[in-house]
Amino acid sequence: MNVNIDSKEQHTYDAIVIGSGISGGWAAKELAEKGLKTLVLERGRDVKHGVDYPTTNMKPWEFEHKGQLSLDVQKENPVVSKCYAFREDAQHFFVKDKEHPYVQDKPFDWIRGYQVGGKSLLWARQTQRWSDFDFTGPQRDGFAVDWPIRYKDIAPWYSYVEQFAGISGNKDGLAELPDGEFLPPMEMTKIESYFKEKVAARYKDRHIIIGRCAHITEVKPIFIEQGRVKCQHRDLCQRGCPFGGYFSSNASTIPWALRTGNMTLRPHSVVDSIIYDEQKGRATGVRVIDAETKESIEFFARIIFVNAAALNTNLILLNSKSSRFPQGLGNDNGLLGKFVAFHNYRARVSAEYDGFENFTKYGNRPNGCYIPRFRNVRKQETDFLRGYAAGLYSSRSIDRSQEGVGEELKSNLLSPKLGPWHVNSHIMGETIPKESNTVSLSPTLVDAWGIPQLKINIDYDDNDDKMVKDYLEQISEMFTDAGFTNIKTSDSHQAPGLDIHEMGGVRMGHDPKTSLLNKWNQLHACKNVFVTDGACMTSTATQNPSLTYMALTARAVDYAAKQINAKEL
Amino acid sequence: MQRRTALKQIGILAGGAMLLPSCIGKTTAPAAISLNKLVISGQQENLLALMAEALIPKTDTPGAREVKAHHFVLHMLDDCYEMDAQQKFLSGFAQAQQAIEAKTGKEFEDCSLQEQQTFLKEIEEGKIVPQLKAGEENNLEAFYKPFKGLTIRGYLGSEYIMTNIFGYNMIPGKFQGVVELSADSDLKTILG
Ligand SMILES: Cc1cc2nc3c(=O)[nH]c(=O)nc-3n(C[C@H](O)[C@H](O)[C@H](O)COP(=O)(O)OP(=O)(O)OC[C@H]3O[C@@H](n4cnc5c(N)ncnc54)[C@H](O)[C@@H]3O)c2cc1C
Repeated sequence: MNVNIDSKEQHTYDAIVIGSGISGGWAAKELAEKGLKTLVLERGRDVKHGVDYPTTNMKPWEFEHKGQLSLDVQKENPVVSKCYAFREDAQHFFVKDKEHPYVQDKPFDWIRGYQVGGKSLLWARQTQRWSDFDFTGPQRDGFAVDWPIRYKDIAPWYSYVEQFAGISGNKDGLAELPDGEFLPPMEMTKIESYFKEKVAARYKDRHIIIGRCAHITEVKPIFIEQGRVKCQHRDLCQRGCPFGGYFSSNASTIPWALRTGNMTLRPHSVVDSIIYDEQKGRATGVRVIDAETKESIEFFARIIFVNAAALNTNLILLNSKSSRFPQGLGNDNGLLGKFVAFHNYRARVSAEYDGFENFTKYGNRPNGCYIPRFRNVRKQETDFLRGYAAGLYSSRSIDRSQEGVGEELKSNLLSPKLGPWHVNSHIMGETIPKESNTVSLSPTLVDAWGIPQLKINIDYDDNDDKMVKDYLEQISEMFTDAGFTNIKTSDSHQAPGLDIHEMGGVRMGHDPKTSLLNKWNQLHACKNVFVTDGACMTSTATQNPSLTYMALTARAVDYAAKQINAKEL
Repeated sequence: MQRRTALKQIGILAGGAMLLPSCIGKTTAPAAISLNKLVISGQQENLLALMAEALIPKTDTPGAREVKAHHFVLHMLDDCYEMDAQQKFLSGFAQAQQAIEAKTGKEFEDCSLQEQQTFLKEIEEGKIVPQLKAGEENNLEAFYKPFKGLTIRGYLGSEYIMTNIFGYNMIPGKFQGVVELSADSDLKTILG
């Protein structure tokens, strides 16, 4: 009896955070800084900043296949092999297909990183704020439900997380893409600046801007305190950065939280479900399966933050069944796992330009240019809802003849010449959350830890097809107008998921009848459980989502701590 | 498991086919490179190194052999090519060996650099027709194309070439979007 009480005490914290990725890292930092004893449960192994980056200083010639993965690895991993960053230098940070199976009712490329830091080690670090044109989208256009927050609610929290994470960008003064607390912007190339001017001259509502990204471009005390220095433009970010030049949980929030002395990090802890106590009318803790021993362990806390990344957060809640919540925690309306959405990344346009032959660049830019959404922003103007942003990159090809044998070949190889400028763009389209896009628990299949596998049933619709068509036409027109040649358009028809911006299933809203979370990211029906990763997203907008997860998380922790102090939680 | 065994057998078969009477007594040392699937003899490894060197010879800078481009060829063939392509490569490699002997009366190893290069050029131009046994396919091209392509990649991606000639710098420290070139800009500036 006493033993049980002791162990229960030992397993009791003020707060539990599930997942240590971008959003979980922020929850951990904020909770620990506010003095709450916080347990972070992470299903994967620990990855210590600077220590567990095995490839970070490897030179290109030290990779046996110069980056390419073996055919066996590719064949064993048909899904994750589709991700551009799954290569010889970073493969160890990705989930392998066979280790964590899931059910694809429709093709869905689920790209995951299970380790301390989650996908924050791997992400492409693009970070843009939402505007009210995004938050009012569902209300204006009549889909999903109205967001319970507006830009003014989140703006101070954007500032708060930007100052700590370090966001580089240019103050462009665009209402549709609000400026942030920017560190100096990265530079554009000659042709990018030229294109920017050309577009500005023809279209008053279209803008080419430098990407806003989570890289330190100016030394500041707050970064030095984190042990991070300026981005060195190696452009090898996916390996983990020894300089901490870009934001990852590993380089930033996790060590910060540890230093407070209030955080306990427990890797190899697979959260099976959240425990709900009917008498108390609240969640009391979580059930964990030790990934290595498969032992089942329980941990307890006053508040629980669920940050397992969008779809796994859905899985955990769906799997948290009790007699009060037979369909999953907080799921009184049956909407948990529904209205999942993502970003449409199917389309690309490439072109060349004859000109600026005597211009090049120096160093590497771990960033690109960005075209904020220009369709249907202020009013509905096309035959599809919402719109798309676009990425834009330029480079010069290197022409190097491979003709000949012997000294002739050698001299050809050693006299490379710069080829024409190439310009590439890709779409980032908003998709409309639909009830038919769902995730649910497989009734029959479980994973190696006895947890039901996730069944994913997500697809594009007619709106996405129309948007792709419009993107290809509009970008082609802009390229043509700028005098670009050899314009090529493509629609990869890639499955949803490869955008790695899956969102929703536990959406925020005003009304408990039509949403799962309130405006503070609390489950309507179980107020001490907070969901602040992509699962909470009511709609997707066109921005890369992670900055918004960070801001929502910091905001929710602030609220939770105040509620605890007011004895409301 | 089965796939692995099958691959080993092909490796051995293809290797075995190359142990022609005239080759016996040549290098019998095992290959220095350690591969996952293919079985390569020391003689084959050496021959591939010589061919790579003929393709990109040493001048005042190292050639393909010194920068171990042939090892890159073998690693790529071993891990990144389908079984069928591996088989054809090794078969074409053996056919090339036989063809140069038929042409010059000497093994590749004993030919002058000039003879070796002329021979490679002739393969490239489709002028070499190997003698084929009944039912045997002409795999010269299936050998030569990846051999040349991979040797070039291995050579250009080698430490010596990347650092000493192209000025590879892992830590540029900054990014400059606009660099204007002039007639006397050096390679490092051009490649940025
Ligand atoms: C190649 C790539 C490029 C990207 N580019 C961008 C970009 O430019 N901009 C952008 O905004 N986003 C980008 N993303 C997406 C971005 O990485 C995610 O939006 C972000 O990491 C989500 O944060 P998260 O905390 O929700 O999830 P994650 O960072 O994935 O962290 C979730 C954590 O939870 C853990 N976990 C899962 N299930 C359990 C469980 N049952 N028990 C315990 N722990 C669990 C996981 O192991 C993981 O560590 C990119 C992603 C990739 C892979």
